Amino acid sequence: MATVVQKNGIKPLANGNLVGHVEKMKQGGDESIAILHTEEQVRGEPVLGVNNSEESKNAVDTLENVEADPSATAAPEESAPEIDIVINNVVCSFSVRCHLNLRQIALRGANVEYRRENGMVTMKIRKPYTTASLWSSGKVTCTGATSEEAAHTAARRYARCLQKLGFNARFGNFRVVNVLGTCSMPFGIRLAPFSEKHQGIASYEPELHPGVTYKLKEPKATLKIFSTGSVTVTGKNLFLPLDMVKM
Amino acid sequence: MTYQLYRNTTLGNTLQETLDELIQYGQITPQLAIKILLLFDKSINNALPSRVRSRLTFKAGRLNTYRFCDNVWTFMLNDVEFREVQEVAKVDKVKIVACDGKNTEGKV
Repeated sequence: MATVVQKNGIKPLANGNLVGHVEKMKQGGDESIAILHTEEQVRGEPVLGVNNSEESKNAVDTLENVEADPSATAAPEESAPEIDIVINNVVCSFSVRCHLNLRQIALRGANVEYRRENGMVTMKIRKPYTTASLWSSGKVTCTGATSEEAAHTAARRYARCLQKLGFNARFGNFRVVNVLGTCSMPFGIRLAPFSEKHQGIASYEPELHPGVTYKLKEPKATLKIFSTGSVTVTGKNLFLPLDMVKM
Repeated sequence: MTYQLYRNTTLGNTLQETLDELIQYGQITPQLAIKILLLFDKSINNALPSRVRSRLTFKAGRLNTYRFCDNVWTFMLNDVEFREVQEVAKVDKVKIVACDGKNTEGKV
């Protein structure tokens, strides 16, 4: 997975600000550090987010920053645990701009499933390993890619598949709908006090979901924070989860 | 209506050839032949699950493609090894067509 991320030009990165956090921990010096520490992080986010949205006008710039970060901080703290963010899923949608005869696809296509009750055909390819849902309107959603680039190639491959099946398929209206990244903190998080501190943006309903749902406005993203320290980030754009890791 | 997919077996094919011959010689009517074939479908669909004891395992090296349409699974397998206790048979390509054995009502 990491290699795919790297191919995209984005390195799995050590948490750039981690050293700072560790120092704060030393200042705090008691057991409630973990929570304090996370609060620090989360407060830090929006600011970083703003910075980054400015930067992301120039994507290369952002990448350079990202790459520069670990080198800046890697040396001094040898004990600093690494926090990698991994992009797990990229969902994109596109249109082939023609009507699709689902039955024809189901009968002649390869690696297809057509359950009429769902009203769509599910098609899979192995490289990049993704699943596409094809609707008769010509709209296609493709899930499972591990980078935006992979999602794009997968989407084009599905369009080509449909073209080979005899449809007048074109490739239009491609957009990344959702990006999911996960990372894991080297400490646990006490969710109840955490969500109390962040009322409004964080919601914690243990009966509905075991994690805190933390909604960010500025880079629009939703974080699910779990007591084990695992964090999942969903957003519309690949740079958002990457911003998160800089917190 | 029961599955007609067993007509395309050795047993089914020979039955069809025989019936064709009998029709040609004028010994039975085509309607009777159709009736016989439907009866064959019914019997073999009953007999295969209840009377056949022999068991065979097979293992594929790779699932090339799969397809699911109208409640029928189609698998194209590569490098398949069929095994019946001691006997082993290797085949490069196998196509498997599988229908739902439980709810045969209302399906072809």
